[in-house]
Amino acid sequence: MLSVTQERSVIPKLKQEVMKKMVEQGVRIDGRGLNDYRKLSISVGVVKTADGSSLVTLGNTKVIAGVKVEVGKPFEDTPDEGALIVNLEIAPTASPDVEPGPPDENAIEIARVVDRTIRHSGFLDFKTLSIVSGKHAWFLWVDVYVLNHDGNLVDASTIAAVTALMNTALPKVELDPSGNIIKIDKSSRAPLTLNTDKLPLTITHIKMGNILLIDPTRDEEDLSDGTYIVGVAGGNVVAIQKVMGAFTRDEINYMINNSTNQYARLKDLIINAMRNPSTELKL
Amino acid sequence: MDGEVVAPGDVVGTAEEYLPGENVEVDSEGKLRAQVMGIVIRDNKEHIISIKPIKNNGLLKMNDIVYGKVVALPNDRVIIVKIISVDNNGNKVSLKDDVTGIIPPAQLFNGKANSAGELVGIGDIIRARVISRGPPYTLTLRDAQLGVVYARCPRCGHVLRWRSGELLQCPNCGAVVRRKVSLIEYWG
Amino acid sequence: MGKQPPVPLLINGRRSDGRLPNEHRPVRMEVGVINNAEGSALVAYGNTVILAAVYGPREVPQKHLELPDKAILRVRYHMAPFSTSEGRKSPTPSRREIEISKVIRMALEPVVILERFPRTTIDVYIEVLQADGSTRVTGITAASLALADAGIPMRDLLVGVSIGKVSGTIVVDLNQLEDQYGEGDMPFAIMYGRGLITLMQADGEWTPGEIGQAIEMAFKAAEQIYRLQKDTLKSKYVESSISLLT
Repeated sequence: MLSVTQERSVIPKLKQEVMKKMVEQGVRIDGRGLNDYRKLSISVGVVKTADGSSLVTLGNTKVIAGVKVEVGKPFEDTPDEGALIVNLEIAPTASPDVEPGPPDENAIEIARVVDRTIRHSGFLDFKTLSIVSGKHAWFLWVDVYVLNHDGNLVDASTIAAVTALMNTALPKVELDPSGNIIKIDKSSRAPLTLNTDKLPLTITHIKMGNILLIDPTRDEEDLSDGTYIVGVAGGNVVAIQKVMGAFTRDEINYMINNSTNQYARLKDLIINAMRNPSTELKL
Repeated sequence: MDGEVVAPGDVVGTAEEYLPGENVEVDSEGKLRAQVMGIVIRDNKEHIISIKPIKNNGLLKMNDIVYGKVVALPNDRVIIVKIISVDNNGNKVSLKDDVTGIIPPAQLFNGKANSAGELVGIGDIIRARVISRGPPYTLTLRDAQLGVVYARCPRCGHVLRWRSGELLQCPNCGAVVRRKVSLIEYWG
Repeated sequence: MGKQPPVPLLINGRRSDGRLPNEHRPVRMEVGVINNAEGSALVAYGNTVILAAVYGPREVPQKHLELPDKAILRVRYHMAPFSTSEGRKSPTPSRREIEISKVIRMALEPVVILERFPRTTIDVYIEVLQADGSTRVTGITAASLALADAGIPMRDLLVGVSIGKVSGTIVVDLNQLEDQYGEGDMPFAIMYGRGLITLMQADGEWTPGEIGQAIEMAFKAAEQIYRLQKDTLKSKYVESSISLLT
């Protein structure tokens, strides 16, 4: 499978010039500063058929994540651990240029960045997913669906995946003395054990000319010269993905530091929102 | 230093000394950098520095003489050609990859042609000249030396022989076919 | 994550293969190895051996992909079925290979002057022949050499370097064991002459200070590989040669 240079959406010249001029003066066309996120809202438990779910709205970007849990056989090299599998699809509802079909390289890349960010964060101890060592463990399937695409799919998807995990409860498993499963009781559940001090988040920067800004809209992404994603958990970096463009060492230093600063703010916002979240599936 | 071999990114001078010529660019610090593997050429009179590439890319150039097979005649106005080889001082050099040529109506003929099908047939091999940077390349047949160099009988498939002027004849069934034949070569 | 290495990754400041933390494996490179290709290169970082071949600029086979103002790059990173030390690798592209093909393309796009050849494609094929860690960065070094060898205009050469963390120590050029059992890895592609980074990824846990250290170490290693790339390309036109750097 070849990775091929893609045509970028064309933004009318006049709008391009206005956007670039404004950014040079430190403001954006939607009124935000360069270092501001759009309005974030989170509802959890919105999909009753899932074992955990979350609907995240970031500006006009809408992402839904559903978690399905299954009992599986642990991998040989990690007999006392469960597993996490993150998939992402950009639904054809998301924008006029999305063709239905299997995930393309962009969707695969986002899913893998979200996956790595959660995996290395310490947020989820994979040992807590073990049922019987070497025999049974929980597999967490996280499916992220992008419903409307207005930029920064990665940050929205990470928030959706993480809050869907916070909403996930594992069914009770009854075992016989030799460790065989007698019954999986879906009516009696216990929430996942998660360390919210290590809540994993991604912070996406784009570059326009020499200016760096966060949480880009789709138009800003189409105008950008570079994209750089930092996954943060606690005070540390747990994932990096340079997506597009070329960056100097100074730019990278700035983005790493700015990401850890943004992280603290964003994390508080999410923890607060999760105290009393809406559970309504309302777009 | 003239004639020195350089690699992409090599600094070959500064913007104060020279103007960037072919395959040279100025970086943000005013250094002139080579863009290709090649040999440094300094024009000290005009103060231009350029790089002569060691390798020619496989693309065709303006005014190249090419040979190609007619593959389609959309609307009977345009000729689509699959270019097979390029003339290099009388030698026909085969191309590695498929290259498409397009002959628009205005490039068919010096006179007025009613249809492309009156000048060439599908399957003919033609000699044409490149008049654009491509691909796809725009070709012209507007020269007596350009035109069909090989064609088969539309009725029985035998290779047509040149009879006179713009007429080709089938040695098998005797059919006479009109083509815009190249005046300097015909392979039949 | 819970995985114990079969041998310690670091003892008395030495790595499992005897190297110091900042010691790169021997780098070997050769260009012009595939005579059918416009440009090609074989690059080895220790036991990791990668072939890269470049075709084009040439006509785009799928017309709808061509761009009116520049060439497209088509890149494939692929592991040969026999290239891994474990079982046979399925030749079907994995999600990992799809992602790596993309990040390598994104690493090459700022380097190649695509505007020179509108409506064409430049195809870069990277084949992992033998894998012992750091395959994507070795592939980048090879792809850059193959592009230069093909006479494609570029803003600089691109060097691939991997940095990792084993037993709390930052190390350069991960081997397979370190890649599998280390605490983190951080691959880079560096336009050394321009001081720009065009590929950077990370997994594992890193403090901001460690990232600074990793970037510093990556640039140090890149400098040597960059020099070797230039020597290899230039000496091809004197004689075909194999160079060694230790």
